[in-house]
Amino acid sequence: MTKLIKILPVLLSLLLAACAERPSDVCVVDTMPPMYPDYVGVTIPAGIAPLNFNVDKAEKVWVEVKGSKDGSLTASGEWADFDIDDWHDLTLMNKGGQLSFDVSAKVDGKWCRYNSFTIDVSDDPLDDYGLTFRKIAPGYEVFSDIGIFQRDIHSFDEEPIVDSRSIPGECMNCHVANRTDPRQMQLHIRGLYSATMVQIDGERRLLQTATDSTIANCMYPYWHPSGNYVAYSLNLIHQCFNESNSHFIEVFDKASDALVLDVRSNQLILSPLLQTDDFETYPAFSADGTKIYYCTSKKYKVPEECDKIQYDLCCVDFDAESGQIGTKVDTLIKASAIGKCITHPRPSYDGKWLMYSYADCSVFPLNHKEADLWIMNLATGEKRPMDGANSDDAESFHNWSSNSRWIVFSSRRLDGVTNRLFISHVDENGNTSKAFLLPQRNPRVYYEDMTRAYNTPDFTLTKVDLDIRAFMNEIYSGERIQVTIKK
Amino acid sequence: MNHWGVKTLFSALLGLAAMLFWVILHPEWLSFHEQYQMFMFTGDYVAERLVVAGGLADYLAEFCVQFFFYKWAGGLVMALLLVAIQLCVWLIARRIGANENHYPLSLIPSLLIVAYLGDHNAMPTFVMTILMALALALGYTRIVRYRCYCQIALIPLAYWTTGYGMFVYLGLTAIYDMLTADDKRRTSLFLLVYFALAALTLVVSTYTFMLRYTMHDILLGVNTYRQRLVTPGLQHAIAALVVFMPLAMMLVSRLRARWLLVVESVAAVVMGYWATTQYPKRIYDLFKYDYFVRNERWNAVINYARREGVNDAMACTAVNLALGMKGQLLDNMGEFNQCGQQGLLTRFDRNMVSCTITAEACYHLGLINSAMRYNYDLQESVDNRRKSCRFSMRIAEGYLVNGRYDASMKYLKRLSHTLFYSSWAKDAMTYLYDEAKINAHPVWGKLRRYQFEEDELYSVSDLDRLLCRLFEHCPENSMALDYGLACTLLNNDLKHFEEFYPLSKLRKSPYNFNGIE
Repeated sequence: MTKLIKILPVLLSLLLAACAERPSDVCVVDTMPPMYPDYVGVTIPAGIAPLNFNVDKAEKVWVEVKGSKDGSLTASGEWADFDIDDWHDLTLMNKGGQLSFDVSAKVDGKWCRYNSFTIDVSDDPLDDYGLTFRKIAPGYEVFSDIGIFQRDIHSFDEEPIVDSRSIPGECMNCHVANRTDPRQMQLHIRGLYSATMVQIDGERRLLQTATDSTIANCMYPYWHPSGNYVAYSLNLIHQCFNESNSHFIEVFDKASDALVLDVRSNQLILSPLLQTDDFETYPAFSADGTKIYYCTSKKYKVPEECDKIQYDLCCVDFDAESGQIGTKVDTLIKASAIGKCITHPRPSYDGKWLMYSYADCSVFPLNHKEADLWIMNLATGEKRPMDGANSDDAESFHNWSSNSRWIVFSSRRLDGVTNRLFISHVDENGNTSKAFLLPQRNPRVYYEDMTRAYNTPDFTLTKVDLDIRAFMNEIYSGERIQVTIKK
Repeated sequence: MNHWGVKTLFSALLGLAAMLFWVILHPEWLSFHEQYQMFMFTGDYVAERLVVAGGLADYLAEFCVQFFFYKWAGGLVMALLLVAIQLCVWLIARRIGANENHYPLSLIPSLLIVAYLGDHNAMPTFVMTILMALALALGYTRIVRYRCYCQIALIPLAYWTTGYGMFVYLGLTAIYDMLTADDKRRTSLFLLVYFALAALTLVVSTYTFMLRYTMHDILLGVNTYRQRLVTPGLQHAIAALVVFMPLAMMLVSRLRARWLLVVESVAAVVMGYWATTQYPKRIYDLFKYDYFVRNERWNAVINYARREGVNDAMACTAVNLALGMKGQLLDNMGEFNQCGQQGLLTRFDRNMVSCTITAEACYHLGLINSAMRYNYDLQESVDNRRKSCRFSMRIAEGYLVNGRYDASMKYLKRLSHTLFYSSWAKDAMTYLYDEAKINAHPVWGKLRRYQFEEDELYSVSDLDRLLCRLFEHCPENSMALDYGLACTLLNNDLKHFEEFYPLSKLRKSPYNFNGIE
C-alpha cells in the first residue's frame, strides 16, 4: 500500500504527460514567441521559482527547455507551467550556462513553432529566502487594503507578515531588515495605533518616535550594519494632482530632516547638518557603517515649484562607537547642477557600489516616467545607468540581495500605472543584466488581474518571523515607548 | 388564531410593508449598500469569503445585495429575508410549544432589524447571519435521533458559516434542548459540553484560519457591521431577542388571554412604525442626493432641494451639479442655500461618503484625474475593505480617457465578473486601444476634449482659475466656466469674477443671474 502511495504521483504525472497534446503539423514562425512576461535573454539565479510564461492568444503551449550543460524539461498546457523541482534541478545543473527554450503554441487550432531563445543561469547564487514588500490598493489618502508580505523566491509561496485584516484602516510601511537579515527589523504602523516596531532577535518594542524637537515621526529607515542604530528621515509628505493625461500626481515634502535612532537606548541622535531648513531625506549607512549617505535639496515653494526640487547626493561621517554624526558634509554628486535629481541611495553590502534613482526632479521618482536606476562605483566615483534594469517607465524602490549580486526594484513598465517587481543580476564590474519580472504560477492572470501595486521591496535572508497575535495585542494595547533626544 | 390565512396575512403584510418601505421611502438605502460592494462570480471570490468565519453568510448576503441595483428587486430581496426570519422564529417557537395566538410576536425581531438597518453601517450580512443561524437551529429541532452527536458537528459548522450567528444558534438550541428534554440533568451536562465546544471552536479559530483577524472579528463577525472593531449594542440586543423570542412566545402562550393577540398586533404595528423612523433624515437626505446624482436624475435633485432645502455642503454640491448639468448654475444657484466653495466641490474627508458627489462633479466637469483620485480614495475608504462597482467603473473610465488601456482593462475585467455591470464593462472593453472609437464616444470623447494637454495642478486655493482655464482650453465645456464664476462669487472674490467674466462671451448662451444680488 505504501509503495502504491509512493508511485501514485509518478504514475499520475506520466498519465498526464501522455494525455498532454503534443504539437503536430507544426508551422515555423520566424519571430520570438509573443510571451508574457518577456523572459528572453534574462539572467536568473539557479534555484529561483520557475519562469512560467503565457503565450498571447495560445490555446495550448508546448515548451522544451534544454540546458547547455545538462538536462532538459518540458511543460505543456494553457501556459508554460514548469514543475518546480524539475526546474530547480535543471537550473542547478546549468549554473554558469544557458537554458534554451523551444516554444510551440496552438493558435486558432494550428500549432506554430517560434524562434528559440535562451536565458543565462548565473554562477552567482541567490540564497536569500525571498522578498519582502508592501502590496497596496491604489489610494491617495486612505489605505484599507494594504499589507506587508513575504515571498519565497524559490517557489510561488507568498504570505502576509502583517496586513489590514489584523490592523484595519491603518497605513503600514517601511518593513526594513538589517542587510536583509530579519532578525533585526523594523516597520511603521500609522494612524490611530501609530507605532514604530523594532524587533531584534525576537524581542519586540513599539516606539513613539514623534518628539517636540523633531518635525515628524520617523519615516524612511536604514539599519546600521552593527544593528545598534537605524537612520531615519522625517518627512512632512504632501501630494498634489495634475489634470493632464501625462502626469497624474506629484508627491513632495513640505519639510524633511534626517537623524539616527540608537535602538539600545531608544534615543534619537540629532545633527544640525541633517536638520537644516533645506530638505534632507533617504539616509543610508555605508556598508562599513562609517558614513551616512543622504539626499538634500534646497527648499522651494510647494506645490508650485515642485519641478525645481532636485536632490544632491551627500554623505556625512558616523562614529558607531560614540554614536556621533560627523561635522562635515561631502557632496558626492551635485545632480541639481545638471538639472537632475538623486534619491534612494542604496549602497551594496560588499561596499563596492551605490545604487540610486535618477530623475528630473521630485522626492518620489516613482511618479516620474524618466526615473531610472543608476550605479556608482564607490572606489572610483564612476557613475552609469543600469541599462539592463531600466525601461521607458519609472524604476524605483531598489535594494540589494545579501551577497550584493542581485537587485530587486519596482517598475511601472508593464501598464504605466501599477508597480511590479523585477530582479536583475549585477556582475563584479557593475554591469546589470536584463531584468525579469518576479515569477508567478500563471503570470498573465496574476499580474493583469491584480490592481494592487508593489512597493518597498527588499530581499530577506530568512523567513520573517513575527508573532502576529502577540503583535496585534501590543498594537491595540496602546503602550508605546517614547523615544528621547540624546544630549 | 389557527387560521392559516391570517398568519399568511401577517407575514405578507410584513413583506409588503418592508418592500414598499425601501422601494418608495428609502431607495437610497438600497443604492448605498449596493455601491459599496463588488460581488463577482469567480472561484477566487467565493474562496476569499469562505476562508473566514461567517464567510458563507457574508457571501450569500453580498449575492443578495447585488440585486439592490434595481430598487424593486432590492426591496423584494429584503422583504423575503425579513419574512424568512419571521417564519423561522415562529416555527422554532412552535417547536417549543408556543400558541398560534401569539403569531404577531414573531414579527418583532424582523421589525427590530428594519430599525437597526437605519444605521447605514449595519450590514445585510447581519440579516443573513441571523437567518442562517435560525435556519440551522430550526433544522436542529427537526433532528429526532443522535441529536447530541449532530450538535458536535453543527456548532463548528454554525461558526464557520455564520460566525457571530453561532451564539444565536447555540442559544436557540440550548433553550430547545432544555425545554424538550426528558432527562434535564443529562441535558444540562450535554449543554456544558456544547458551550465548551463553542469555546474550543473559537480558540482553534483564533490560532488557525482566523489568526490574522482581531478578537473583535473572531467573536462578533467580520462583516456584520461595516466598521471594523465596532459593533453597536442594538446588534447584540437583536441577536439576544432572536434567541429569547421563541421562549417568550412559549411563556406568554401559557397565559391563555386572547386579548393579548390584539395587544401584540398593535405592538407589532407600533414597532413597525417606530422602525421606519430610525433612518435619520439628515443622513438619508444626503444618500438620496447621491442616489439621484448617481442616476443622473438632475431634475429630481433640484426638486428635492426645493422641497427639503439644502443644509449641507454635500447636498449643496449635488444641487449645484444638477444646476450645472442643466446649464442653470449661475442663473439659479441663488435660489438655494450655498456653502461657499465647499458647496461646489466638497472636500474629501477620509470617509466613504463625503465626496461621492464631488467625484461625480469632477467627472462631469472634465477633471478626470481628480474624479479618479476621489473614486480611488472613496473605494479605499470603504470600512470593510470591499471594492465598489460604482467607483471601479469611474476608475476604468478615467484610465480609458487617459489612454491607459492596460490599467483600464484590469478594472473592466473585474466588472465583467459581476451581474449588473458586466455588459457595460464588456462594451467598454471594445473601446480599448481604439482611439477613433473613444473620440467618437459621446461622453469619453467629450472628456478627452475637455482634458488639459499640459500639466495643470489641481489646487483648492486656486480652484476658480483652474475651472476657467478648463473652459478656456475647451469652450465646449461651459459648465467649467459656470463653476469657475460660481466659485469666485461664493468666495466673494469680485476681482477674479471681473477677470474671468469676459470669458462668458465664448459661452453659447448668456447668464441671467436669477436671485444673485
